[in-house]
Order: sequence, then C-alpha cells, then structure tokens
Amino acid sequence: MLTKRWILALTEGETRTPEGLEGADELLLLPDGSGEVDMDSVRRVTGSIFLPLGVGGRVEGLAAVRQRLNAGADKVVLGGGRLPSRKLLEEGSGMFGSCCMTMYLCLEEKGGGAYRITDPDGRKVLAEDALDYMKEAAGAGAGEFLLRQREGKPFSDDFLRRAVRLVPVPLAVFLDDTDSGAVRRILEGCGVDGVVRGNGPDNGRFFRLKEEMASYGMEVRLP
Amino acid sequence: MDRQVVIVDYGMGNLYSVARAVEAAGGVPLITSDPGTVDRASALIMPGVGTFGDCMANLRKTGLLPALRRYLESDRPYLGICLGMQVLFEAGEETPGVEGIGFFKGKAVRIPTGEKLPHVGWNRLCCLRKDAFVSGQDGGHHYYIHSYCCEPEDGDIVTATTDYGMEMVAAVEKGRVLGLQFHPEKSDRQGILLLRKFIDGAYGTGKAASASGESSAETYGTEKMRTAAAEASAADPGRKKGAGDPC
Repeated sequence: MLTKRWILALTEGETRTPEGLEGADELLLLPDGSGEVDMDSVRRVTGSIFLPLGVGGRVEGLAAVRQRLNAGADKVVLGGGRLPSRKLLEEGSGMFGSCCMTMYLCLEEKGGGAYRITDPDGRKVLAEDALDYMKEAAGAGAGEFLLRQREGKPFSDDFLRRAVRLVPVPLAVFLDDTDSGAVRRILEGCGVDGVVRGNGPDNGRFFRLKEEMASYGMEVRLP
Repeated sequence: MDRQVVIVDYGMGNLYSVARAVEAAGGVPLITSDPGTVDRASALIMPGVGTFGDCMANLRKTGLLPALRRYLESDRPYLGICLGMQVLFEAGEETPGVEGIGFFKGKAVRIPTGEKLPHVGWNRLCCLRKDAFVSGQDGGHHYYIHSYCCEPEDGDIVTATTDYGMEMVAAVEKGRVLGLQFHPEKSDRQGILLLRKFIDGAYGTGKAASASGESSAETYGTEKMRTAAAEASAADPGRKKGAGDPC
C-alpha cells in the first residue's frame, strides 16, 4: 500500500534545517524572491540527498523541464503565480510522462464550498473554479497537485473529498497546522495523498506527526 | 576502471542523481551514449525517465540498441530502473507498435488498478524469492513514480511485487540482469544499499565496503547534508531561511 507522504518545501539555497530532513519523504525546491531556481542549487540537493525532488521556478517551455530533470529533479513544479499552457502540459507529459508534471496551486475560498485559483498574493484570479481547472489540467497531463489556501487557512473537508474524488491524480495539501487531528482528517478522512510544509524550525514536530499517524494504523514510511 | 558503473544516456535526463547515488554506493559512475563504452562495460545501469517510445527511438538513433542487446546476451550485470526495466520487454502499451529490447517476453501496460495514476510515492516491497537480489529488503519502502508496469509472460522472473490495488511487479531478475520498477537512487538508505549490492555483485566487496554495505549507507546522508548545507550557505550566506511559501 502506498504511504501517505510528508513533503518539505525548501527555498533555493536551503538544503538542510537544524533538525535535518530525515523525516521527509520528498522535497520541493521552490523559488524565493527572484522567482527562479538556480540549477546549481538543484544539483547540490540531488547530489547529496537521495530523496524525490520537485523543482519549481520559471518553467515556460520544454527546455526548462529538461533542465530541471537533467539536474536530478524528478518532477517540475508548475503553477504558483502563473498557470502553464495546455500545450506545455501536453508536450511535457508526452515527452517525460505526466508523473513529472506537478502543479502548485494557490486557492481562495469563494463561498459555497467552492475555490478559485489566484496568484500567491491573491491579486489576480487565474481560474474561477479550482476543481474544473484541476480536472482539465489533469486531462492535459498534470500528474499531481499541491494545493495551498492563502493565508494558511485550512481547506474544507468537503472540498478536499470532492477534489480527491473528481481529480484523477494524486493531491497533497500545504499544512500550516500541525494538529494531529487535522492531519488525520485530511489524510485518512478526506483521502489526500500527502501533506506539504515550508521548511522551518518546527520540522521536527511535522515529522513526528508521522509516528502518531503510524500509531493510528496509517501507512507511512518511518526513517 | 575499478568499480566503474556505466550509466546509459539515451537523452531523456535524470542521470545526475543516478550518478551521485552510484558514488554514494561506492561505485565510479560513467555516463555514456557511446555504444563502444557499453560493449566494454562491466556493470551497467539503464535509468528511467521519459516514455517508452522516445526511449526506444533514442536507443536506435544513437546505435545503443544493438550494443545493449550484446551486453544483455553476455549476462553481465545490468540494472534497469523504472523505464530502464520496462524497455527490457517486447513492447509498451504507452506507444503501440514500438518494439522494446525484447530481452524478456511480455510488455509494459498501463497499471491496471482502480487507484489513481500515476503511482507516485513510497510503497512496500513484497519479496517472492529468498535468493533474489532484493530479498534483503522485504517489507521495506521504496520510491515509485510511474503510470505503466511490467506484465511478464514468464512469472518466474518476478522476484518482488508491490500492492497498489493489485499486485504489481516491482522487481524482475534473470541471471545477472535485474529490473526495478522503483527508483533506488531516490529511495534513501534502502536504495543506496541496493546499488551497493549491485556494484559488489559486479566487482566483489571493495575495501571501502562493509559486508552489508550498511555503514556507508547509514552515514552518507548526514555527512553529505552537512556538506551541502555548508556549500549552500557559502554560496549565498545572506539567503533567508524558512520561506518556501510563496502564498
């Protein structure tokens, strides 16, 4: 049985935290202020840490996808401030497989249990209906979605259940709350595949949740 | 060269992490797209990125295909990872009409499961044979990322499976030819141990290797992380920590 995944998001330049990365199942390398990720940073991570890695930054064409995979990334992370073209999803998944095409989406609740996709600042609406967009993007070649609600608000359970049911590829959600009840509800109750957290001083607490989840019988990988 | 592991470059990328993992496992990686180098290899890894059709097209275009067939017929150590295992079969459902290497009878099919695809993440290994290459890691977790899986005609070559709503082939083995559906180069310590076992199988246990390979695999992570952290810090000491959160 596939385990639930604990994913740690690093910014460029971060390869280790005070408590280490030992509990992580997967890493993300996302851009900070510059909006771009330097491939030397990618190689620093992939040359020393033998875990799956998704890499974001400016991915506007196949060359950028190839560049990241050549540096040792397993997936490219599209989305964030700008949604990729359908052509890029189709061509990227056609050439490298949909499993290499991960999408990172910032969502905002718009009432009635529905969500829209915005840029990270919430200034620009990128898609009016998140679920419709995710279904369409999965059809074009997106192989996974990482969802975050602005300002760290939790998603409604109903939305997550619908997303898991209607979107035919794996889903992970950013988690600001390290309450074990919330984590259990998201992963077990809603059927989400993984949780993501930005690198920070409480990584240890984030990873210890795995042990708690294991004690409830959830399938996790313990280091 | 001592403990050299030839890594076949068929133009689809993701060779860097395989090469670094080979180093961590005590091997000396040599990335090549030269058929002559494949002919002379003593241990070879066929990595897995991309689609079945593109991989086979590139193997043909570069002249690597006949060299790989000669290599496989000579029963030298071969490790196919993910797509590198799937192309050992005769065909791939992903690209109908494209012939695979054909070392094994059977084909790669879209994973016949009711679960979501791609199959991404860590899954548990169920070993079927005690003498198999992977037998020491029965019950262990390894990292998978794929939408197609192997369907061999000869069930005897299957040495391990994993459960994804169906029993999926995780490892095949015939003589010194091995195929792994998961990625050892991304499977943390377990993966490095397997790569070390592969290299030891080709060259014997080296001076630096312990009998189990465990000592180096247990320590590589923390030492390398410290090095990487120091390098990153030196490269940009002013970079702030704890961001990673564009929302």
